[in-house]
Amino acid sequence: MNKIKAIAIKELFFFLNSPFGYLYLFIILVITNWLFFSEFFVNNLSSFESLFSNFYFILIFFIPVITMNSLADEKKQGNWEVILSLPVSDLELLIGKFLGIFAYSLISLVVLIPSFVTVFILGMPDVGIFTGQILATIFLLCSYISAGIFFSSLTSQPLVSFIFTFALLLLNNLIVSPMVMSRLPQSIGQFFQFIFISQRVSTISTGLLDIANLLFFFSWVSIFIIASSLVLKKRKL
Amino acid sequence: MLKVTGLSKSFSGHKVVKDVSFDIDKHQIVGLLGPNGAGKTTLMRLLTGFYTTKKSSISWSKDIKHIGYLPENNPLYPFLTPLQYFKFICSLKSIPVKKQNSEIKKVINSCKLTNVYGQAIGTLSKGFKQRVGLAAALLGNPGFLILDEPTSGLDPKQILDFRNLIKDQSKNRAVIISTHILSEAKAVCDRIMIISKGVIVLDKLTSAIKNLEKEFLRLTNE
Repeated sequence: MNKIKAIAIKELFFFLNSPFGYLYLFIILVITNWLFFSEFFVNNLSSFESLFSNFYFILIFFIPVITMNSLADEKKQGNWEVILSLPVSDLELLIGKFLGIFAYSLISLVVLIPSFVTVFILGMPDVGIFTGQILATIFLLCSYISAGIFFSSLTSQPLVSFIFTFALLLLNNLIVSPMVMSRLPQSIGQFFQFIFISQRVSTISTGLLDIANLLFFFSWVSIFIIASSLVLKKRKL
Repeated sequence: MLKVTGLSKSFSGHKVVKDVSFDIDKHQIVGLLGPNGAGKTTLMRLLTGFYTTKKSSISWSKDIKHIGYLPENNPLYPFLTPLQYFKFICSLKSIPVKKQNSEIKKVINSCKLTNVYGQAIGTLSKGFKQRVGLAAALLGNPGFLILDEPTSGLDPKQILDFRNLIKDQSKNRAVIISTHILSEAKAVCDRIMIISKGVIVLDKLTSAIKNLEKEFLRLTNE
């Protein structure tokens, strides 16, 4: 556990010791709030729906950026050679990285607290729905990060990792959009809704938290982490 | 201390290390020489456990709890200070938290990093970075030290300093150094192994080799 903690802290340090780490957070803060408050007073609704949908859209860019270096850069620079020559398992390395990046990504949610407080002061948003939206965001962050780490494990070029993760996250958002769904046969549409995250996030965002969706997120994260571990093991064959 | 028997490693069907066998005793500094692509780094990575083979052909004596490893390009995290990096490595080496500070203090002193341990690694000179890499490898007092091209990219003074540092460290442990600089091997090592095309073609005490340059060229020029 200490090893996982050390790797997670090191990963968090990577962002907090770099100006880019703060720049990403600043961009999220400005774009999300600008998009939200530009229509908030026009709509006159104390709802966070548009704030979270803007935030989810930004995550399509943000997550590939913060995960692309996780393993690709370690491979490129050779740091993984040092770490894996120590008594550290591939899984400990991956879980440590996952937790470190997740902790940083949570800060992106923390910077939105003033917006949440503003809406709570000005109106009376539904607390149940708000809790569901926060939980859905946390699940979404975990899922996106695990996918990003997997694509980073496949290559030693961070840019390649960025492109693949971005493509998957974009696909995840586009494929269940009404524009695409209306053009697909119903059975295929339902299949896509089942295997991609977006529909499940929408369900949890309404405040409805069921076991099936929890299991889905847990499986999604586990599959990507285990797949990354298999990729790392390939070096030993 | 270390016994390697019939060690082989292939990548995509191409054998990079072929049936290598050798022993290394305590307090010995062994130089692993060979031209580029001879299999030195692969052999080092096999010893560290970064690469494995189907058959286990490497056995360590029981008193070796862990090994210290300094890879070829000395990868470090530029955004950390040496102190933060050492704490990170201590945790990964499972050194108890209570002992970490004394361990770190010891390597900072022995690698002469007293004036720079609070500075970001990215701002240090190449020589200091190399010392940080060696200090990290020395944490936990490993019984065996593996150094892959440890002086590459250093200036002549830094090379001499680093050689002395390696000699000091061999008093408590065995050291294996991979290099293609013959003069370095002669200056530092007690024993020389030459690897060519994945095969150990020479394994002798340095004092028993009359003309290392000539031997090296003869054994690697085919």
